[in-house]
Parts: sequence; C-alpha cells; structure tokens
Amino acid sequence: MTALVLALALAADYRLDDIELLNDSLEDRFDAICSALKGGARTVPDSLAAPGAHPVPKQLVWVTSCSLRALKLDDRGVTSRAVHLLWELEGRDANGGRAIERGEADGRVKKLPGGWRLEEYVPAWSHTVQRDQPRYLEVGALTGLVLPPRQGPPSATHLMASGLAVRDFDGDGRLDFAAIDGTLAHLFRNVAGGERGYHFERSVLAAAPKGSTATAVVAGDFDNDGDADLVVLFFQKAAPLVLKNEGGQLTPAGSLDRGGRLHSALASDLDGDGNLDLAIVSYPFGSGVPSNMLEAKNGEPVRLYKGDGRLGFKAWPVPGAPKRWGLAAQSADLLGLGRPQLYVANDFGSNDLFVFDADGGIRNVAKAMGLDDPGNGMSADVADLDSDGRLDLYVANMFSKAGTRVVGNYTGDAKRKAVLEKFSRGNTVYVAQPDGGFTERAVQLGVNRGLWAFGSVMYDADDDGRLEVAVANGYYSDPRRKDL
Amino acid sequence: MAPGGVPALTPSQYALIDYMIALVPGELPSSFSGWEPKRLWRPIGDGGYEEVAYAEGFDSRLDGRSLVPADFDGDGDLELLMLSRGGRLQLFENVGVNGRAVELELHGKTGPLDAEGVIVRADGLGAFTTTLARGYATTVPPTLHLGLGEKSDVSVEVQWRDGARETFGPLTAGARHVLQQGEGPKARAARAFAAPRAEVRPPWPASLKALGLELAKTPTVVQLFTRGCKPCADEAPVLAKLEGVRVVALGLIADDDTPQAAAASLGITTEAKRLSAGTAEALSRGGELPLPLLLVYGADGALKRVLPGPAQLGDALK
Repeated sequence: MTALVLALALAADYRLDDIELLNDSLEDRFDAICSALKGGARTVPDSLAAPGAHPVPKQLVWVTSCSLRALKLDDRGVTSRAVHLLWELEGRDANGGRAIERGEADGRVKKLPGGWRLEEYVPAWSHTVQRDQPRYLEVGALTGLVLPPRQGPPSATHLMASGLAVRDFDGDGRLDFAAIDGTLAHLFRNVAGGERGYHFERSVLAAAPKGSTATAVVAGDFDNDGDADLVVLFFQKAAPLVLKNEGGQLTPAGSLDRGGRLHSALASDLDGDGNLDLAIVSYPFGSGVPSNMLEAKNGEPVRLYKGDGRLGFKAWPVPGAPKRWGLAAQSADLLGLGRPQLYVANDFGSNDLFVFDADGGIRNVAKAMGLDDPGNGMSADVADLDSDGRLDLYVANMFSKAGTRVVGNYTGDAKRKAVLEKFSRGNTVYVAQPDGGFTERAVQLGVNRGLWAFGSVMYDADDDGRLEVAVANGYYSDPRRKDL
Repeated sequence: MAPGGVPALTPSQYALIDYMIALVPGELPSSFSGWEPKRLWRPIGDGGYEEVAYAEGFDSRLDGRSLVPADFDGDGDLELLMLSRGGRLQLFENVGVNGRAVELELHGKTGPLDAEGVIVRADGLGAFTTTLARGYATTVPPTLHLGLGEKSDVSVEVQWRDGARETFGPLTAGARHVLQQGEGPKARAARAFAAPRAEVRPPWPASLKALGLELAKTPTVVQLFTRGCKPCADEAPVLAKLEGVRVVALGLIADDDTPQAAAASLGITTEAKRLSAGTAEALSRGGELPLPLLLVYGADGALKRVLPGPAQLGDALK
C-alpha cells in the first residue's frame, strides 16, 4: 500500500491509475490461481491460466500459503500486456518438512471474454528452502504471554503503539520484560516452572491516563544503583512516567516535564557524563497529514533529556533539529568517535544521525555521511553484519510490490523517479567501509524485501558466527483478508 | 469537475482518503498491508542471504512491531520475542541445532553502570557493541551474545567507554562471562548456560504405516474429522462415491467416544478409526487442526497430497 502514498507523489497521473485499476482485476485472477493451488491442485482452470503458465509446487504436498503478484505491468496493450511476476508458496513436503518455494517470472496476460488470463509464463528464477525441523517453536501461550484483549477497533495510535523493554528486573538471572499494549504497561516476570521449564507472570505497571495512549517503555539504570528502571511514554497528554526499581519492584518516581505525541524513546549516555540520557521521538498522529510524503517538515523535533543519575531528567534542546514523523531511535558509535551517536528513523522522509561533540555541540551528519536514507523509516539496528570489525546499520523501510509496479511505470523526471524507487525498495543496510564511509548494499545482499517493516534486527540465530536478519512487519490486518 | 462543482478525484486521490482513514481513529474498511509473512534472512555461501522465516518456524501473520532476540530460557541461544499491533505477544523459542556461544556482561570504570557503547572485537567474528536499544521501540540489556560456531573458546578485545582497550580470554564457550575493566585477561566470573531441552517432534503421517493403516492396492484417501465438524459431514457423500480408491476416516475424538459413533454422527459411512493426538498436533496450524483435511496416499502408501477439501481430489488422484 505504499503505492498509495507514492501515487500521491506522482501527482494524479491517470495513466498510472489505469494500470493499477487493471492490476486490481489481475489480482483477483491471481488470487483465484492461488486458491486452486492451496486447494491442492497442480493445474488451474483454463480460464485463469494457459496450461503450465503459473507457479507449480515441486516439493510441497500441502500448500498453506500462496502469493502471486505483479512487480511490473506494462502500460501498453488493450488486450495483451507484459507482466513480471513475483510468487511465493509455503507449506509442507511429504515428510512434514517446512518448505518455501518462490521465484519470479516474465509473462503476458491476455484479455478474454471471461476476464484476464495468464497466457505466458517464463521463469526468471526459482528457489526452494526446506527444513526438516524448524529452528523456532512458538511458545507464547504456553509460557503465559497473554495480554488482556482490548475492546473495540484500534485507534490510529494503537496501530503503531508497541514497545518492549527486556531486562532482568528482579536480578534472579532470568530475563523479564515490560510490554505496552496502548492501554497498559505490563511487566512479565520470568520464573521457573511450566511446560517449557520457564514461564511468565504478568502484572500491571501503569495505565494510560484518560485521553492518552501508552506508546512505549524504555529501560535503563537511570539512578546508577545496579538495576534497571523504567520510563513509560504516552501519546497526547500525559508526561512520561518514571518508575524506580527497588528490589525488583517498579514504583512511580516522578515524571518528565511534559507530554506530547510521543512514540518511542531510547536510553543512552549521549553526553558522556556517566549518566543515561533520554531521546524521545514523536509521531504527530492527529495533527494533520505529512506536509510532503517524500520529505515531511511538519512533524516534531527529537526531544533530548539529560539524565542526572538520580532519576531526574532535564530538557536538552537540540538546535535546528528537523521536525520529523519519528518512529524509532538507536544509539551506537557508528562513526568511531569514541561516544555513541543517535540515529533516528523517520517516516515520510530522511533519517537523522546526531553527533554529540565533547564541547556540548550537537550536529546532524546523516546526509553528510550518506545515512539519511530517504524513505518511510520505521526502525534501525546496529551490528557488524559482514564481520569485518566495523559496525553496520540496518534500517527498516517499506518494500511494496504495488509501489515497485507504480514507480516502474512512472515516466516523469528521472531524479524524482529515483527517489520514488528508493521509497518502494524496502529495507537498507549501510555497510561500513575502511575509509569511514558507508555503502548501501541491501538489494545486492538480498535483505531489502521486508515488506511494511517495523522491528528489524541483526543477530546470530544459529550461533555459527554469522548474523541473520529478522523482520517484524504488517500494518493492519482485517479479518477480511482483501487489502485496501 | 464532477456535478455540483466538486472536483473529481483520481483513484490515487481516493487512495489519499484511504490513507487518511489510517491516520484517524476508527475502524479501517479492510486490511492495509496486512497478513504479511515475517522475514528471516540467513547468510549463504556467496555472501548473499536467503529468506527462511516460514521454514525456520518464525511463522506469523500478525502485524509485528517490536522484535527482540534474547535468551529467555537461559540455554545460550537466542529466542525471538515479538509484540504485535493489538497487544499480541509471541515467543519463538530457539530449539534448533546451534553452534557454541558466549554471553558477555561488561562493567567499565567509567560511563554509566549500564555499560552501553562498549565495543568488543573477536578474530573472525567481527565487532559487537553494547546498546540499550534494538529495532523498533525496544530496549535491551547491555550484554553481548557471540556465536562461536565450532570454537570451544574465544579471546576478545574490549574497547571501553573511556577508550581504553583490554584483552580478555580465552573465554570458554557455553557460559556467560563477567568482564570488569582492568581485570583482563581473566573474566571476573562465569556462569554456565542451562542445558537445552530435548525436543520431541510429533509424528508426521508421511505414510499409511505411520498412521497405523495397512497398505492397499489402490490409492487411499484419509478423511480427518471431529464431532460436530460440518464441513467434514459435507464432504462425506463426495468421498463415499469415489471408485477405485480406499477411503478411511480418522477422528480426533474423546477417550470415551468411539470412531464409528463419531463418524456416524456426521454421516460418514466409510471405515473409521481414531486419529492419534500426536498426528493431529503435527498437522495443526496455530494450535488447531485445520478441518476439513484430506490426506491422499498413493498405492505405494506414501503421502502425495494434503487437501483442504475434496474439490481437487481428481487432480490429486491422477
């Protein structure tokens, strides 16, 4: 659906609209092909595709998921058009293993009296991933990870609100965590026992005051006493709430100076004084629409607070901070300066990288370092992805099949087209170079198609010494599965 | 201009309206980039990555937001905890075959007690940095997890917040080590990881034999059912008319029930037997057996196709 945003930026181009209207018709046909494959067919009705002109499962005996979409759709042709397809099948093989079969193909669709038909299908590439035993077993319900259901439809802020703070809050050697569900801040204490040998006991830490939404929670040892305290953020009115950890009990210990349209926060010693500071980013839901879908300037600047090491926080102005639609922040010494920098991922435009100089100055060097990453920035993570001893940056954005298709047919200004292509390309990875610069390599490495990505992290899933990349994604799923 | 002087809107301008719907409170009219499969890329030999999320069991269609890797069961490998829109939590426990690993807890002489911003380097493994934030709106402990592959220990160089560099090690795999600035090369303490749990996988019905059924000289269709399953009842007449095919009904039923009685309650007239709980678990998705479900076996007794109903039986029996 990024296409919708992109289409706006393309200034009401009727030609592109016509292509998308045709695509809507095609998607109905593609979904019918998928229904047949999920129903167990290996051939599909002749009205949908010519014999063999569609993906055919090879190893799968049980197709549980199917996606077939156009990445490119020619704008020429009344009764016949060229199309480039991306497809993916998931399911089980004959021995119960989990398998993914996916690929791309060049084809042609033809308009017949009964509707459009997939007439030609020439595989460009295909690939199968198979595992006899999956690495992961989902044990959330088994271990007590259940939040109380919320009544009614989600509000706009609930669509985005989500925060986790993982720490050993009670010092028992097990990782606990705090979680936000928009209404409440919960603590899940990790204790021994249960079917998996461990489980979680839930309690409520704080409730969003009336008129506010709980949006995030950030953990850190803000009073330097050896355990992790918490700050809970709210959207709209209430000021962030500070919770002090005393012997594993988290109790209110004051609040920050003011509330706002606060979305997420980060704890880091940004000024190098030995105390954790706070960076808070805001997402101004309800204050209007982005002034520019490609570079919005009507958001809010990042807020900084200097921590005093005693649970107190003093506002720390950032001169000239851009007004962004901010979503998430990360801190690390990406530039090798001996002190962490602050990277902020922003929706509708460029990201920021703030350097904190020893003299107290704050500089935004994102563009100068080539890390501004214009797009719909959703989150960021830092790790040494290529194991070369330098820290790399992975940024979550949006990969959109629809956006790729729309921009592919855009024939206007080349510079503008390049920007739009960047917006629909998906996640980025900035690989640090020996000269201190960064090279963006996500497409080359094949780690860009994270869909509508949110939390995206680099970590070693199998402890082989090389990092995997995991992505949480999806904006809003309605029981009616048809997308807008 | 549309009638009434209202400017006509292009589809993309209507799309703007759709988008605005997403920005204001209220119910959305349909999914909006919904039901997306999660992504997990693993490195492969040529320097690229392959996407393996579903195959590895990181299998969710919820609208994921915060995602964090952390060792919640204490066995030295990393789980994935995901918090999704609407307050849904999923914990993907790591039960795979893994290499060796160490965890590092760092304590500097300067900087905050939460030792964030410390950089650790290890030969062949690269650089690691402590941070209190990961990904989307998520905070984490300032500890490090180093996968070692086949190595039984590792030595590391620590770059503390004050710039001092110090070597620690060798640090034995399979433990969490506490590194205190100024005390290198020895770790202050080490605590061994918990032993990983042995996983018993439910039996997959790859063959008739695995289901406890005799081999037939013809293809076999196995119909799964439970009491009260209306779609199962609906497919019974279709299955009863099959020719040249053996049909067996397997019911997931209570201990005090009988397969014959449960089958008869649905109008199933074919041979009926009990479905084992283990096989039902192996076929379940999201903790539920997805009915209706037909298992199609060839004359050799091997599983050929799993069908969510009889519509494609003809195709499957070819």
